[in-house]
Amino acid sequence: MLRRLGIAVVALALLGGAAFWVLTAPKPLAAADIPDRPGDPARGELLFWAGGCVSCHAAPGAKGDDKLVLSGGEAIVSPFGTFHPPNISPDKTHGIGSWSTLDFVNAMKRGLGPGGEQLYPSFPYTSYQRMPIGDLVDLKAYLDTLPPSAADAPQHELPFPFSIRRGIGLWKLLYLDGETFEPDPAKSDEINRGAYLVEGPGHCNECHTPRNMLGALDYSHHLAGAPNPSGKGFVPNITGGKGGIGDWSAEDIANFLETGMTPDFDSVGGTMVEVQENMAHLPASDRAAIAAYLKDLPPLPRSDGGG
Amino acid sequence: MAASDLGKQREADMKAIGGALKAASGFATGKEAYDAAAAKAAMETIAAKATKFPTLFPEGSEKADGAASPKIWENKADFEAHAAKLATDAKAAATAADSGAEAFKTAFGTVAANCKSCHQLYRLSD
Repeated sequence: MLRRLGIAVVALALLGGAAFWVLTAPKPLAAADIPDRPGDPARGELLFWAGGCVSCHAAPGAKGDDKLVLSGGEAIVSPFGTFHPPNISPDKTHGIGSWSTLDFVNAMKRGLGPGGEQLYPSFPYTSYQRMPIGDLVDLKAYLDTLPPSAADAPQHELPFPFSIRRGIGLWKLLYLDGETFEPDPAKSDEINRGAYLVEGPGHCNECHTPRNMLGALDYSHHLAGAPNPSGKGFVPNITGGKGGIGDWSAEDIANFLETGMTPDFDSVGGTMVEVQENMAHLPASDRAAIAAYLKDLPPLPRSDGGG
Repeated sequence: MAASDLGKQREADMKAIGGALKAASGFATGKEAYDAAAAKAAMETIAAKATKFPTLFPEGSEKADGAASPKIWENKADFEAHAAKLATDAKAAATAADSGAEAFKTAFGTVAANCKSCHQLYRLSD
């Protein structure tokens, strides 16, 4: 009897392991999904600033042109452990210079490394997946023009079970829908452009929308502010609801993104400084589009009820 | 001063600095007719507030408001240096105000850049 029970336990464990293996398998795009044309680095540069790549991938404390050396190594502290964004400079050994365009698209839209390994969602592919493949081809073309770096970022410092990379496959089944941004035909071109920039490359939700216990975004409080993922303070509600920015005009929002000054001449602070400085590189029409979209959002009260 | 009063005083001083910047911004952008006396007064307000501001962060007042980063107390000398630089730049702008709108515009830009460089390090999450 005991022996039979033992066999049953082992069988169940094997079955569970097999199910885990199948469920967590990578689901990459294929080469046929990538358009057969060279990327446009000029278009890619705009997406690069919208995407804020430098904020996490530049070396810690880099200033000026040194920020374009995407050698990685910053520390992102989270409730799940500390992540260190890698070197994404075009160095062939230490960076991503040997990645194909397909490899890059799979990272951005599927959260997968070139060998199919699961990437942690501290890399915000939950937002980047909204970007059309054509935009990613252009972004890759721009990244290829940046200076290479031979630096290696430290490994992530994660406790068990978050240290099991494969487990992210389960998380993705729940929280990575694979949808590309689709414009809403009921809205203006400007609002749709803003929606794309906010929901896709700009990845505003990653800080301004709260997360559930599994670290997934809770869209019932879409952009209504969230506890700072690094543990201290509150990331503001950027809808027009209570505790939000309903009293800002679209011009105020666009001006804030350009200069870092609020309508009351308070200034941008914390990690938003980097974001604002990236947004300042965009054409004025794109900052206006972001403002138009934020003004058009359903006004929600601050997600923690404060304000 | 009680901790909660310290927090309120910090906020009031920051609002006074923001208000003075706002008052002078029209002169820097050219949206308002240049008024040297008003521009000078605004910069003097900022210099005075910035000089006093770091004294509102004594040991033990870490929780007096919700926006002050613990890094203020870890890097107190650097925090004070940021405030001192704002005061110095505001005094320079007050002097520049006497030399006309163009000189003031440049000096105003230097003053305004201080907000972000300090808030990036020492104010939490926005």
